Amino acid sequence: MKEIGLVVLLLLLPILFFLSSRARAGKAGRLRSLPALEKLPGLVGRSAETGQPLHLSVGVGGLGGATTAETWAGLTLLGQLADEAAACDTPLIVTVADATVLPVAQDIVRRAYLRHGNPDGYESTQVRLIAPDPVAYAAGVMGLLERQPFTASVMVGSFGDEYLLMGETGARRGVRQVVGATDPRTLPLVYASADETLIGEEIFAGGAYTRKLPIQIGSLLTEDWARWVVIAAILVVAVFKILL
Amino acid sequence: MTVLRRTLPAALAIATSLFVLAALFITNPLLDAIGTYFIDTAVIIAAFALFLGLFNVLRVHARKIRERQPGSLYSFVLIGAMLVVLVIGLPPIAGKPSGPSHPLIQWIFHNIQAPIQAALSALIVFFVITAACRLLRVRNAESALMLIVALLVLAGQVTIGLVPVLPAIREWILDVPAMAGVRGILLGVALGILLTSIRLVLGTERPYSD
Repeated sequence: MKEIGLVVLLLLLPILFFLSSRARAGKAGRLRSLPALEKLPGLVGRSAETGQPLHLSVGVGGLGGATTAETWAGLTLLGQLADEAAACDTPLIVTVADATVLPVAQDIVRRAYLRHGNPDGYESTQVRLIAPDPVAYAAGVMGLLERQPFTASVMVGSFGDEYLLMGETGARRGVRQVVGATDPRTLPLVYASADETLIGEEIFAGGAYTRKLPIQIGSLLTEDWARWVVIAAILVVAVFKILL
Repeated sequence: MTVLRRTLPAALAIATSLFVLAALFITNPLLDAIGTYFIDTAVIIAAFALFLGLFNVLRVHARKIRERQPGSLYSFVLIGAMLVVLVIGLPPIAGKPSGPSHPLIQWIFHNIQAPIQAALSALIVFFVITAACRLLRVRNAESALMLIVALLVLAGQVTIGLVPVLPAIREWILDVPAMAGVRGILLGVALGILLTSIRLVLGTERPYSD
């Protein structure tokens, strides 16, 4: 299995570099529309108009474990939202469930305020560790959504069934919700309660849509190419199984 | 200064991740030892993040109490409970279990924390019902399709043998389109994780420097 992993990695690397160079040259073409990501800047603007804060959750996962990539997807969106929030002087409250995410999230928000020449605008309590247990974390976020008026809640990362405690509270309170998750058992719950959804691998596309860096666009295109290769392989195997 | 702030952290992160990756793919005692050392170091550093978390919780809730924000009573209870557990669990007792194994801490876990968590988990059932009601309101073609499929699956579940074809339809929906969708999502997620990891290893995304 390790050998297969190495082969896949070595095959993907040149494709990634090739597509990134095409993106750098402006030949990447148009990315397919993802309404959830396209609406994020509007949420910050609405929050600036109403003066009510924006909530962002990066899920119940941490950095260094099996959920690192999902958590990272949430942190990528945090980078973009923190930049826009700092530019508009919009209050942003970030909740995390794992202590390893806390310093990274705090640093991302702090540097966003520094970049926009407003270091005093950052408060370390903007980023809050709620609880390491998923259900306790969900209960803490529920309380936050109940007690404080929010314009919108963006939740992108690793979530389980406990998501519904937060999602339903947000929906009941009329908070606009943009939610992205990867667990197929959580996705129906997300679809039921959120206004905009990022399903499965769409959460990893955040950087390509918001920051538009060539490597991120190249990465997204590589993912699409690889998906077509997998689909073709499945079809070929299915045809062979039918024929033989 | 730029070297210290940008280049050095990035170079260290890339070199470390490449070593760990190489140790995963290549069987070599030296590489294995270096890879294990880096992973152990990361675990120890991550443990220190717990202290940052503790101070963050204290700061957030102390501020709530100081500013008498809504729900500050809960913050008071949280800080009180946290200090009680720390005071009971921290001092080492010669020859007796301490920390999480201390009998009083065990009692708190079994009689306070576990029942509260169980109660919260039970709440999810009621939230599922309200979410299902919201989901079943037809908003667009996707919702309509979802409503039809959900009704077919429910009917197949509770038909009690009256309409023999319904359980077969339910089985087919769960085994073919639903399973295909789940596998498609999982394949996409796996590719997304792989490419995100490559970007991190290559140092193109650096949360640790500007």
